[in-house]
Amino acid sequence: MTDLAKTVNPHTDNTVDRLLDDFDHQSADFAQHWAEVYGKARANQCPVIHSDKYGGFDTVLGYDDVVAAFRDWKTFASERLLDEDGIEMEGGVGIPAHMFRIGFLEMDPPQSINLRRLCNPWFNRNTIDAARPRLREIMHWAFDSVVEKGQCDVVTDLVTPFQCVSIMDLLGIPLEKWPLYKEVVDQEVAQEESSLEGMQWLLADIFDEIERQTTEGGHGLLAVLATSELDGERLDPELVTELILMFLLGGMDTTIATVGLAVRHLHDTPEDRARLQESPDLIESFVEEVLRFYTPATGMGRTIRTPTTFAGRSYERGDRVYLAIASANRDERAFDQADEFVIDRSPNPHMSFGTGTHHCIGSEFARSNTQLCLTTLLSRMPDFEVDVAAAHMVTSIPHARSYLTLPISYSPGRSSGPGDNAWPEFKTDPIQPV
Amino acid sequence: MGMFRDAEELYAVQGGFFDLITVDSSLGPKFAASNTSFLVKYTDPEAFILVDCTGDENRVFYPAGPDTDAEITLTMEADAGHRFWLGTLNLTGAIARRKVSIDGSMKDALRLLPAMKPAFPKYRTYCIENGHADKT
Repeated sequence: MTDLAKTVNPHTDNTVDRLLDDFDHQSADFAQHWAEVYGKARANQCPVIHSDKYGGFDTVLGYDDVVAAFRDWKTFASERLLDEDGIEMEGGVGIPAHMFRIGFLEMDPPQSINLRRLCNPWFNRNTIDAARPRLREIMHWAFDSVVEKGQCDVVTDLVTPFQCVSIMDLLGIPLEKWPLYKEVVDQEVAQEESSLEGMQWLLADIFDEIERQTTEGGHGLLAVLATSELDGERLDPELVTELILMFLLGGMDTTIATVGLAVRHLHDTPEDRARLQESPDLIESFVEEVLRFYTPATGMGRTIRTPTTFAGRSYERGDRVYLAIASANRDERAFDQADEFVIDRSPNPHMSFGTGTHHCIGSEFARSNTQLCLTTLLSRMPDFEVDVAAAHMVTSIPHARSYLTLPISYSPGRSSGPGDNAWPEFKTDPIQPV
Repeated sequence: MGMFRDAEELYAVQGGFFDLITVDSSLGPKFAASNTSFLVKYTDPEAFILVDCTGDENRVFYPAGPDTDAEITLTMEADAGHRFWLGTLNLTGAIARRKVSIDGSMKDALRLLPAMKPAFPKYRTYCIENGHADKT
């Protein structure tokens, strides 16, 4: 303890104290010091951190409390509640609230469950297992475009094209549009000023695609949703648009972030990299530990539906809480050596995909794609080195703790495809539910 | 015909409403805190309202010119604007159907939301109290 105290940078310590006094999970300082901030609060036996920002909210820190809140959707609403005038209150899973409702991520049972049932077959483990040949082909297409160059960007050249095309494939959106979709996703991940314009284009394009596939049909989830009925009525195309947007955005930046964080870890930790190369079966536990230790999506908002006492505090309807997944995943009471990266940690009940009725529907897809990205990188670019000086992360954490750019260099390999991001002519069948 | 007979009626209802909420004791400071300006371009009927929250006091101009400079420009059918303030417009759907478009930065637009949402119930009351109960 004495040794640790000697190594603490007084500037950092002041910053941590200031962040605890004036907490803002979206500030640039928090993005730099989140682990110390949460760690110090837990060490001080604080169950929550209160903030007056964004209309006021409490951040829930402990693993048990975060799990309990995730599992109690009746008290901790994901949907946007209405006030006594029937007007939507500030709410949903974003603090501050997202401009657009995000599909069933911001609904509660029974509506959320009814919609999830329509989508579940496309994301279960059997479907993802059966889709591996297709996903591998998409992955190699992304690698083929840069493998001969000896340098590329993990984020913009490898994982974003792969994740973008694989999700569009599952949804049944024509793949030739992938550069346009990728551009909007890049803007959104980077929170660029132009993201609003791109988002509007994306919404309108999805809407047109829904109208087209309603009459002409399609091979993916979009066509299924466009022609599905609930309670005897066809789903409103506006709702289907919202669901497709949820899958596109929710499925992309989190996996892009996870892969980037994993690649940086492998660069910084040669012993873990060597173990993974010697024992490829460790990839599953390695990815789980990346999800726990680095926690790409750091938290989720909830709104109190009915008055309750929780984590030692009283809450009224409409109060906002932020479930700090990043803190729960480092809670010393839930994980041994919580602040250590343990490549073969087992069990590893991290909260990065949440739990309860809102458990991430795409968790198997995200796991599979992350593992595939990393194993392909280690086999096709085994000597990769990150250009640390040129790597940049988001400066704050609106959605995910993601690298915006993560350049690597490696010994050039051989491409098996046309290269240069050429239009993908895939031979395997599109992803289908099993 | 849409909800508004002509631009005059739209200015009377929506312009008057902006006048009210930008000086409201609770909402006025929220608009001021956004430190931004927005031009609403209505179609059917065509009309233009500018709300400027960048100075010492919030100011509303109508009719404004169609090319007036503003940090955010909202283009929408007048009926969509009416339903927006009633709180019954699905913004995602309206954008997807190209009935509403927003020109400007996401950050500026998000800064306005804390002022706009609490104004919804006031719009219904305002319409009723100003002889437009038929529109609620």
